[in-house]
Amino acid sequence: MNCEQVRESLESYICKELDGPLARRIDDHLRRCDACTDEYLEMRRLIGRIKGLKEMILLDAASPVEAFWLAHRKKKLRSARLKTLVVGLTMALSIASSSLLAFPALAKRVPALPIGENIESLEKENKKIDAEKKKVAEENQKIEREVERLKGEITKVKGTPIRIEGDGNLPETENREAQRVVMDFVRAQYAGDVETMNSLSTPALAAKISERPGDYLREEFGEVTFATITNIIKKESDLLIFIKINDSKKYIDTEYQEDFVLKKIDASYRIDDMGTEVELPADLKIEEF
Amino acid sequence: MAERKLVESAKRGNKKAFASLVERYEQAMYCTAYNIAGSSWDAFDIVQDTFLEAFLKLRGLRDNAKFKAWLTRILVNKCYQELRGKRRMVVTERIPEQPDSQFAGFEDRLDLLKAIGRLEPEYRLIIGLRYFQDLKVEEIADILELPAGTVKSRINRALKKLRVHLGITGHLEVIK
Repeated sequence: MNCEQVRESLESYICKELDGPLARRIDDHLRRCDACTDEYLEMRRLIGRIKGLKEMILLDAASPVEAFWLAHRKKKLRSARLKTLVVGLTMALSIASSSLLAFPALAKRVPALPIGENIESLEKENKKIDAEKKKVAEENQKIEREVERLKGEITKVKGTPIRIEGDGNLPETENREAQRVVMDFVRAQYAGDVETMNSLSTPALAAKISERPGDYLREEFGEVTFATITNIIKKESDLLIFIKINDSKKYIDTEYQEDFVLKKIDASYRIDDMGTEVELPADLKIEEF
Repeated sequence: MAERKLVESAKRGNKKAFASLVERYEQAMYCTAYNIAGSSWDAFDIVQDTFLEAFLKLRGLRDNAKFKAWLTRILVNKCYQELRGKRRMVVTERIPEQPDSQFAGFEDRLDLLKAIGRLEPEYRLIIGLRYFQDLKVEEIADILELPAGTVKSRINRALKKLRVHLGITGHLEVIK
Protein backbone atom coordinates (compact mmCIF):
# COMPACT_ATOMS: atom_id res chain seq x y z
CA MET A 1 0.00 0.00 0.00
CA ASN A 2 1.26 3.49 -0.70
CA CYS A 3 0.86 6.53 1.53
CA GLU A 4 -2.15 7.87 -0.35
CA GLN A 5 -4.08 4.61 -0.08
CA VAL A 6 -3.22 4.33 3.62
CA ARG A 7 -4.40 7.87 4.36
CA GLU A 8 -7.66 7.32 2.56
CA SER A 9 -8.39 4.43 4.92
CA LEU A 10 -6.92 5.90 8.13
CA GLU A 11 -10.25 7.19 9.44
CA SER A 12 -11.91 3.77 9.06
CA TYR A 13 -8.78 2.17 10.54
CA ILE A 14 -9.05 4.41 13.63
CA CYS A 15 -12.77 3.64 13.94
CA LYS A 16 -11.96 -0.09 13.64
CA GLU A 17 -14.12 -0.61 10.59
CA LEU A 18 -11.60 -2.28 8.31
CA ASP A 19 -11.42 -5.99 7.73
CA GLY A 20 -8.47 -7.89 9.21
CA PRO A 21 -6.19 -8.18 6.17
CA LEU A 22 -6.52 -4.49 5.23
CA ALA A 23 -5.98 -3.38 8.84
CA ARG A 24 -2.85 -5.52 8.99
CA ARG A 25 -1.52 -3.98 5.78
CA ILE A 26 -1.99 -0.55 7.33
CA ASP A 27 -0.29 -1.76 10.55
CA ASP A 28 2.68 -2.81 8.44
CA HIS A 29 2.78 0.48 6.56
CA LEU A 30 2.62 2.55 9.76
CA ARG A 31 5.56 0.65 11.23
CA ARG A 32 7.64 1.69 8.23
CA CYS A 33 6.39 5.21 7.50
CA ASP A 34 6.95 8.05 9.99
CA ALA A 35 4.92 10.57 8.00
CA CYS A 36 1.83 8.34 7.94
CA THR A 37 2.32 7.51 11.63
CA ASP A 38 2.29 11.23 12.45
CA GLU A 39 -0.82 11.62 10.32
CA TYR A 40 -2.44 8.66 12.09
CA LEU A 41 -1.66 10.07 15.55
CA GLU A 42 -2.92 13.51 14.59
CA MET A 43 -6.18 12.16 13.16
CA ARG A 44 -6.73 9.84 16.13
CA ARG A 45 -6.23 12.75 18.51
CA LEU A 46 -8.67 14.95 16.56
CA ILE A 47 -11.35 12.25 16.45
CA GLY A 48 -10.91 11.69 20.19
CA ARG A 49 -11.36 15.41 20.77
CA ILE A 50 -14.53 15.53 18.65
CA LYS A 51 -15.98 12.55 20.48
CA GLY A 52 -15.08 14.28 23.75
CA LEU A 53 -17.41 17.15 22.86
CA LYS A 54 -20.33 14.91 23.73
CA GLU A 55 -19.45 15.44 27.38
CA MET A 56 -19.60 19.16 26.90
CA ILE A 57 -22.81 19.59 24.92
CA LEU A 58 -25.08 18.44 27.67
CA LEU A 59 -28.76 18.31 28.06
CA ASP A 60 -28.61 19.77 31.53
CA ALA A 61 -31.74 21.86 31.69
CA ALA A 62 -34.35 19.34 30.68
CA SER A 63 -34.52 16.33 28.47
CA PRO A 64 -36.34 16.47 25.13
CA VAL A 65 -37.97 13.16 25.86
CA GLU A 66 -39.14 14.48 29.19
CA ALA A 67 -40.45 17.64 27.55
CA PHE A 68 -42.04 15.59 24.79
CA TRP A 69 -43.62 13.44 27.45
CA LEU A 70 -45.01 16.41 29.28
CA ALA A 71 -46.29 17.97 26.10
CA HIS A 72 -47.88 14.72 25.07
CA ARG A 73 -49.80 14.45 28.29
CA LYS A 74 -52.07 17.44 27.88
CA LYS A 75 -53.03 17.55 31.51
CA LYS A 76 -49.51 18.60 32.39
CA LEU A 77 -49.12 20.96 29.49
CA ARG A 78 -48.97 23.99 31.72
CA SER A 79 -46.11 22.68 33.79
CA ALA A 80 -44.25 21.82 30.55
CA ARG A 81 -44.67 25.40 29.42
CA LEU A 82 -43.48 26.63 32.78
CA LYS A 83 -40.46 24.41 32.53
CA THR A 84 -39.72 25.64 28.99
CA LEU A 85 -40.10 29.19 30.25
CA VAL A 86 -37.68 28.54 33.12
CA VAL A 87 -35.23 26.90 30.73
CA GLY A 88 -35.60 29.79 28.30
CA LEU A 89 -35.08 32.38 31.02
CA THR A 90 -32.06 30.53 32.40
CA MET A 91 -30.55 30.33 28.93
CA ALA A 92 -31.30 33.98 28.20
CA LEU A 93 -29.65 35.00 31.48
CA SER A 94 -26.65 32.77 30.82
CA ILE A 95 -26.24 34.17 27.28
CA ALA A 96 -26.55 37.72 28.57
CA SER A 97 -23.95 37.14 31.28
CA SER A 98 -21.58 35.32 28.95
CA SER A 99 -21.77 37.86 26.15
CA LEU A 100 -18.98 39.89 27.72
CA LEU A 101 -16.88 36.76 27.86
CA ALA A 102 -17.72 35.90 24.28
CA PHE A 103 -16.84 39.41 23.08
CA PRO A 104 -13.79 40.59 25.06
CA ALA A 105 -13.69 43.73 22.90
CA LEU A 106 -17.09 44.66 24.25
CA ALA A 107 -15.84 44.13 27.77
CA LYS A 108 -12.95 46.52 27.18
CA ARG A 109 -15.39 49.24 26.20
CA VAL A 110 -17.02 49.04 29.59
CA PRO A 111 -14.25 50.47 31.79
CA ALA A 112 -16.58 51.15 34.68
CA LEU A 113 -17.07 47.45 35.13
CA PRO A 114 -14.35 45.62 37.09
CA ILE A 115 -15.14 42.60 34.94
CA GLY A 116 -13.22 44.30 32.08
CA GLU A 117 -9.98 44.23 34.08
CA ASN A 118 -10.65 40.73 35.30
CA ILE A 119 -11.06 39.57 31.73
CA GLU A 120 -7.76 41.12 30.73
CA SER A 121 -5.89 39.40 33.53
CA LEU A 122 -7.73 36.17 32.76
CA GLU A 123 -6.73 36.49 29.11
CA LYS A 124 -3.07 36.87 30.14
CA GLU A 125 -3.36 33.85 32.38
CA ASN A 126 -5.04 31.91 29.60
CA LYS A 127 -2.22 32.75 27.21
CA LYS A 128 0.29 31.51 29.78
CA ILE A 129 -1.68 28.31 30.25
CA ASP A 130 -1.96 27.90 26.47
CA ALA A 131 1.83 28.17 26.13
CA GLU A 132 2.27 25.53 28.84
CA LYS A 133 -0.32 23.30 27.23
CA LYS A 134 1.48 23.59 23.91
CA LYS A 135 4.71 22.55 25.57
CA VAL A 136 3.08 19.55 27.24
CA ALA A 137 1.39 18.61 23.94
CA GLU A 138 4.79 18.69 22.19
CA GLU A 139 6.26 16.48 24.92
CA ASN A 140 3.33 14.08 24.54
CA GLN A 141 3.85 13.95 20.81
CA LYS A 142 7.50 13.11 21.36
CA ILE A 143 6.57 10.29 23.72
CA GLU A 144 3.95 8.96 21.32
CA ARG A 145 6.50 8.97 18.49
CA GLU A 146 8.93 7.07 20.70
CA VAL A 147 6.22 4.51 21.48
CA GLU A 148 5.49 4.10 17.78
CA ARG A 149 9.20 3.76 17.07
CA LEU A 150 9.52 1.04 19.71
CA LYS A 151 6.51 -0.74 18.24
CA GLY A 152 8.37 -0.62 14.97
CA GLU A 153 11.11 -2.73 16.45
CA ILE A 154 8.91 -5.74 16.17
CA THR A 155 10.81 -8.34 14.26
CA LYS A 156 9.37 -11.01 12.07
CA VAL A 157 10.21 -14.68 12.22
CA LYS A 158 9.01 -16.43 9.08
CA GLY A 159 6.24 -13.93 8.52
CA THR A 160 4.80 -13.91 12.05
CA PRO A 161 5.54 -10.72 13.93
CA ILE A 162 7.13 -11.22 17.32
CA ARG A 163 8.51 -8.80 19.81
CA ILE A 164 12.04 -9.61 20.86
CA GLU A 165 12.35 -9.42 24.65
CA GLY A 166 15.32 -9.91 26.90
CA ASP A 167 18.47 -8.56 25.41
CA GLY A 168 20.18 -9.32 28.73
CA ASN A 169 22.05 -12.44 29.68
CA LEU A 170 20.44 -14.94 27.31
CA PRO A 171 22.73 -15.23 24.31
CA GLU A 172 21.13 -13.78 21.18
CA THR A 173 21.45 -17.00 19.19
CA GLU A 174 19.74 -19.04 21.91
CA ASN A 175 17.08 -16.38 22.33
CA ARG A 176 16.25 -16.42 18.61
CA GLU A 177 16.37 -20.20 18.39
CA ALA A 178 13.97 -20.61 21.34
CA GLN A 179 11.58 -18.02 19.94
CA ARG A 180 11.70 -19.61 16.48
CA VAL A 181 10.79 -23.02 17.90
CA VAL A 182 7.87 -21.62 19.84
CA MET A 183 6.56 -19.49 16.99
CA ASP A 184 6.85 -22.38 14.52
CA PHE A 185 4.93 -24.52 16.97
CA VAL A 186 2.15 -21.91 17.34
CA ARG A 187 1.88 -21.59 13.56
CA ALA A 188 1.69 -25.37 13.21
CA GLN A 189 -1.07 -25.46 15.88
CA TYR A 190 -3.14 -23.01 13.83
CA ALA A 191 -2.34 -24.81 10.55
CA GLY A 192 -3.33 -28.18 12.03
CA ASP A 193 0.13 -29.51 11.22
CA VAL A 194 0.62 -32.26 13.83
CA GLU A 195 3.76 -33.51 12.10
CA THR A 196 5.60 -30.20 12.56
CA MET A 197 4.32 -29.90 16.12
CA ASN A 198 5.76 -33.33 16.90
CA SER A 199 9.08 -32.50 15.26
CA LEU A 200 9.42 -29.45 17.55
CA SER A 201 8.46 -31.40 20.69
CA THR A 202 10.26 -33.74 23.04
CA PRO A 203 9.13 -37.39 22.74
CA ALA A 204 7.06 -36.94 25.93
CA LEU A 205 5.01 -34.06 24.50
CA ALA A 206 4.85 -35.70 21.03
CA ALA A 207 3.23 -38.73 22.67
CA LYS A 208 0.65 -36.49 24.40
CA ILE A 209 -0.13 -34.70 21.13
CA SER A 210 -0.60 -37.96 19.25
CA GLU A 211 -2.88 -39.24 21.99
CA ARG A 212 -5.10 -36.13 22.25
CA PRO A 213 -4.40 -33.86 19.24
CA GLY A 214 -7.61 -31.89 19.83
CA ASP A 215 -6.12 -30.47 23.05
CA TYR A 216 -3.28 -28.90 21.12
CA LEU A 217 -4.66 -27.89 17.73
CA ARG A 218 -6.04 -24.39 17.16
CA GLU A 219 -7.37 -24.70 13.60
CA GLU A 220 -10.82 -23.43 14.52
CA PHE A 221 -9.32 -20.16 15.85
CA GLY A 222 -8.43 -18.97 12.33
CA GLU A 223 -4.99 -17.48 11.75
CA VAL A 224 -2.50 -15.95 14.15
CA THR A 225 -2.70 -12.21 13.71
CA PHE A 226 -0.22 -11.24 16.40
CA ALA A 227 1.96 -13.14 18.83
CA THR A 228 4.11 -11.46 21.44
CA ILE A 229 6.64 -13.20 23.62
CA THR A 230 6.13 -11.42 26.92
CA ASN A 231 8.69 -13.15 29.11
CA ILE A 232 11.39 -15.76 29.08
CA ILE A 233 12.45 -17.49 32.26
CA LYS A 234 15.52 -19.69 32.41
CA LYS A 235 16.19 -22.68 34.60
CA GLU A 236 19.61 -24.15 33.99
CA SER A 237 19.38 -25.09 30.31
CA ASP A 238 15.55 -25.15 30.23
CA LEU A 239 13.38 -22.17 29.30
CA LEU A 240 9.86 -21.15 30.20
CA ILE A 241 8.36 -18.87 27.54
CA PHE A 242 5.13 -16.90 27.84
CA ILE A 243 3.32 -15.76 24.71
CA LYS A 244 0.26 -13.60 24.20
CA ILE A 245 -1.69 -14.37 21.05
CA ASN A 246 -4.47 -12.79 18.98
CA ASP A 247 -6.09 -14.59 16.09
CA SER A 248 -8.58 -13.94 13.31
CA LYS A 249 -11.56 -15.87 14.63
CA LYS A 250 -11.74 -16.50 18.36
CA TYR A 251 -9.43 -14.00 20.02
CA ILE A 252 -9.94 -11.00 17.75
CA ASP A 253 -10.29 -8.22 20.29
CA THR A 254 -8.74 -10.04 23.23
CA GLU A 255 -5.65 -12.15 23.64
CA TYR A 256 -4.78 -15.32 25.48
CA GLN A 257 -1.57 -16.56 27.02
CA GLU A 258 0.21 -19.79 26.21
CA ASP A 259 3.12 -21.03 28.31
CA PHE A 260 5.84 -23.24 26.90
CA VAL A 261 8.52 -25.25 28.71
CA LEU A 262 11.53 -25.82 26.44
CA LYS A 263 14.26 -28.38 27.05
CA LYS A 264 17.62 -28.27 25.45
CA ILE A 265 18.32 -31.56 23.71
CA ASP A 266 21.77 -31.76 22.17
CA ALA A 267 22.24 -28.29 20.72
CA SER A 268 18.65 -27.38 20.02
CA TYR A 269 15.49 -26.58 21.97
CA ARG A 270 12.40 -28.82 22.01
CA ILE A 271 9.04 -28.08 23.58
CA ASP A 272 8.48 -30.36 26.56
CA ASP A 273 5.15 -29.02 27.75
CA MET A 274 2.72 -26.30 26.82
CA GLY A 275 -0.69 -24.99 27.70
CA THR A 276 -2.56 -22.08 29.18
CA GLU A 277 -1.48 -22.98 32.72
CA VAL A 278 1.77 -24.89 32.64
CA GLU A 279 2.89 -25.81 36.14
CA LEU A 280 6.28 -24.52 37.11
CA PRO A 281 8.70 -27.16 38.37
CA ALA A 282 8.77 -26.99 42.19
CA ASP A 283 12.52 -26.50 42.37
CA LEU A 284 12.56 -23.78 39.72
CA LYS A 285 15.02 -21.07 40.48
CA ILE A 286 13.85 -18.14 38.40
CA GLU A 287 16.21 -16.06 36.40
CA GLU A 288 14.25 -13.55 34.32
CA PHE A 289 15.32 -11.77 31.17
CA MET B 1 -35.01 -5.09 27.70
CA ALA B 2 -33.69 -5.72 24.20
CA GLU B 3 -34.29 -2.90 21.73
CA ARG B 4 -36.43 -4.94 19.38
CA LYS B 5 -38.81 -5.90 22.19
CA LEU B 6 -39.05 -2.29 23.29
CA VAL B 7 -39.88 -1.25 19.74
CA GLU B 8 -42.54 -3.93 19.51
CA SER B 9 -44.00 -2.86 22.82
CA ALA B 10 -43.92 0.84 21.83
CA LYS B 11 -45.68 -0.03 18.58
CA ARG B 12 -48.48 -1.53 20.62
CA GLY B 13 -48.84 1.82 22.38
CA ASN B 14 -46.63 1.35 25.44
CA LYS B 15 -45.45 4.91 26.08
CA LYS B 16 -42.94 3.91 28.72
CA ALA B 17 -41.28 1.58 26.24
CA PHE B 18 -41.09 4.43 23.73
CA ALA B 19 -39.62 6.80 26.31
CA SER B 20 -37.00 4.29 27.37
CA LEU B 21 -36.14 3.71 23.69
CA VAL B 22 -35.54 7.33 22.80
CA GLU B 23 -33.74 8.09 26.06
CA ARG B 24 -30.95 5.85 24.82
CA TYR B 25 -30.24 8.16 21.90
CA GLU B 26 -31.35 11.48 23.32
CA GLN B 27 -27.89 12.81 24.25
CA ALA B 28 -26.16 11.79 20.99
CA MET B 29 -29.04 13.15 18.92
CA TYR B 30 -28.98 16.39 20.84
CA CYS B 31 -25.25 16.77 20.10
CA THR B 32 -25.85 16.14 16.40
CA ALA B 33 -28.71 18.65 16.28
CA TYR B 34 -26.66 21.17 18.26
CA ASN B 35 -23.89 20.78 15.72
CA ILE B 36 -26.28 21.68 12.92
CA ALA B 37 -28.43 24.29 14.62
CA GLY B 38 -25.70 25.96 16.67
CA SER B 39 -27.97 26.74 19.57
CA SER B 40 -29.22 24.67 22.43
CA TRP B 41 -32.86 25.72 22.16
CA ASP B 42 -33.01 24.93 18.42
CA ALA B 43 -31.30 21.59 19.07
CA PHE B 44 -33.79 20.92 21.82
CA ASP B 45 -36.71 21.66 19.49
CA ILE B 46 -35.27 19.51 16.72
CA VAL B 47 -34.87 16.53 19.03
CA GLN B 48 -38.30 17.01 20.55
CA ASP B 49 -39.90 17.26 17.08
CA THR B 50 -38.00 14.14 16.07
CA PHE B 51 -39.42 12.23 19.02
CA LEU B 52 -42.92 13.46 18.31
CA GLU B 53 -42.76 12.37 14.68
CA ALA B 54 -41.19 9.06 15.66
CA PHE B 55 -43.97 8.45 18.17
CA LEU B 56 -46.66 9.19 15.60
CA LYS B 57 -45.09 7.14 12.82
CA LEU B 58 -43.60 4.26 14.77
CA ARG B 59 -46.15 1.76 13.46
CA GLY B 60 -44.83 2.39 9.98
CA LEU B 61 -41.37 1.07 10.93
CA ARG B 62 -41.12 -2.31 9.23
CA ASP B 63 -37.85 -3.68 10.63
CA ASN B 64 -37.65 -3.25 14.40
CA ALA B 65 -33.90 -3.85 14.32
CA LYS B 66 -33.43 -0.65 12.35
CA PHE B 67 -35.00 1.66 14.90
CA LYS B 68 -31.84 3.71 15.48
CA ALA B 69 -31.25 4.31 11.77
CA TRP B 70 -34.94 5.14 11.26
CA LEU B 71 -34.92 7.60 14.18
CA THR B 72 -31.71 9.19 12.93
CA ARG B 73 -33.24 9.62 9.46
CA ILE B 74 -36.10 11.59 11.01
CA LEU B 75 -33.56 13.67 12.92
CA VAL B 76 -31.60 14.36 9.74
CA ASN B 77 -34.78 15.52 7.98
CA LYS B 78 -35.57 17.82 10.88
CA CYS B 79 -32.03 19.20 10.70
CA TYR B 80 -32.45 19.85 6.96
CA GLN B 81 -35.74 21.64 7.67
CA GLU B 82 -33.97 23.77 10.27
CA LEU B 83 -31.22 24.62 7.78
CA ARG B 84 -33.74 25.51 5.08
CA GLY B 85 -35.45 27.84 7.54
CA LYS B 86 -32.17 29.47 8.41
CA ARG B 87 -31.24 30.17 4.81
CA ARG B 88 -33.39 33.24 5.00
CA MET B 89 -31.15 34.58 7.75
CA VAL B 90 -27.85 36.29 7.05
CA VAL B 91 -25.23 34.68 9.24
CA THR B 92 -21.86 36.41 9.43
CA GLU B 93 -20.19 33.98 11.79
CA ARG B 94 -21.52 31.23 13.99
CA ILE B 95 -20.49 31.84 17.56
CA PRO B 96 -21.50 28.80 19.54
CA GLU B 97 -22.96 29.27 22.94
CA GLN B 98 -20.63 28.47 25.75
CA PRO B 99 -21.58 25.12 27.16
CA ASP B 100 -20.56 23.99 30.61
CA SER B 101 -17.26 25.72 31.32
CA GLN B 102 -16.40 23.43 34.21
CA PHE B 103 -14.89 20.84 31.90
CA ALA B 104 -11.15 20.37 31.74
CA GLY B 105 -9.70 21.68 28.50
CA PHE B 106 -12.70 23.96 28.10
CA GLU B 107 -10.88 26.45 25.88
CA ASP B 108 -9.61 23.71 23.59
CA ARG B 109 -13.04 22.23 23.25
CA LEU B 110 -14.59 25.60 22.61
CA ASP B 111 -12.06 26.18 19.83
CA LEU B 112 -12.98 22.83 18.34
CA LEU B 113 -16.67 23.59 18.62
CA LYS B 114 -16.13 26.91 16.87
CA ALA B 115 -14.10 25.21 14.16
CA ILE B 116 -16.90 22.68 13.60
CA GLY B 117 -19.33 25.59 13.47
CA ARG B 118 -17.38 27.05 10.58
CA LEU B 119 -17.86 23.91 8.47
CA GLU B 120 -20.53 23.70 5.80
CA PRO B 121 -23.78 22.03 6.97
CA GLU B 122 -23.16 18.72 5.20
CA TYR B 123 -19.83 18.37 7.00
CA ARG B 124 -21.30 19.34 10.36
CA LEU B 125 -23.98 16.72 9.85
CA ILE B 126 -21.53 14.00 8.91
CA ILE B 127 -19.36 14.82 11.95
CA GLY B 128 -22.41 14.52 14.19
CA LEU B 129 -23.55 11.22 12.74
CA ARG B 130 -20.11 9.69 12.76
CA TYR B 131 -18.67 10.84 16.07
CA PHE B 132 -21.63 11.79 18.24
CA GLN B 133 -24.00 9.03 17.13
CA ASP B 134 -21.12 6.59 16.54
CA LEU B 135 -22.68 5.33 13.31
CA LYS B 136 -20.82 3.15 10.84
CA VAL B 137 -20.11 4.36 7.32
CA GLU B 138 -22.69 1.94 5.91
CA GLU B 139 -25.33 3.14 8.35
CA ILE B 140 -24.68 6.79 7.48
CA ALA B 141 -24.80 5.91 3.78
CA ASP B 142 -28.16 4.27 4.35
CA ILE B 143 -29.55 7.23 6.31
CA LEU B 144 -28.31 9.89 3.90
CA GLU B 145 -29.03 7.71 0.84
CA LEU B 146 -25.51 8.20 -0.44
CA PRO B 147 -22.90 5.70 -1.65
CA ALA B 148 -20.53 4.55 1.13
CA GLY B 149 -17.58 5.95 -0.85
CA THR B 150 -19.14 9.43 -0.83
CA VAL B 151 -19.70 9.20 2.92
CA LYS B 152 -16.07 8.20 3.47
CA SER B 153 -14.69 11.01 1.38
CA ARG B 154 -17.06 13.49 3.01
CA ILE B 155 -15.79 12.40 6.45
CA ASN B 156 -12.18 12.76 5.30
CA ARG B 157 -12.86 16.17 3.82
CA ALA B 158 -14.63 17.31 7.00
CA LEU B 159 -11.63 16.26 9.10
CA LYS B 160 -9.20 17.97 6.72
CA LYS B 161 -11.19 21.20 6.81
CA LEU B 162 -11.38 21.03 10.58
CA ARG B 163 -7.64 20.64 10.82
CA VAL B 164 -7.13 23.63 8.59
CA HIS B 165 -9.49 25.70 10.78
CA LEU B 166 -7.65 24.52 13.88
CA GLY B 167 -4.25 25.17 12.33
CA ILE B 168 -3.17 21.50 12.56
CA THR B 169 -2.07 20.89 9.01
CA GLY B 170 0.57 18.23 9.77
CA HIS B 171 1.29 16.25 6.63
CA LEU B 172 -1.87 17.33 4.85
CA GLU B 173 0.11 19.04 2.14
CA VAL B 174 1.74 15.75 1.16
CA ILE B 175 -1.46 14.04 0.12
CA LYS B 176 -4.01 16.01 -1.79
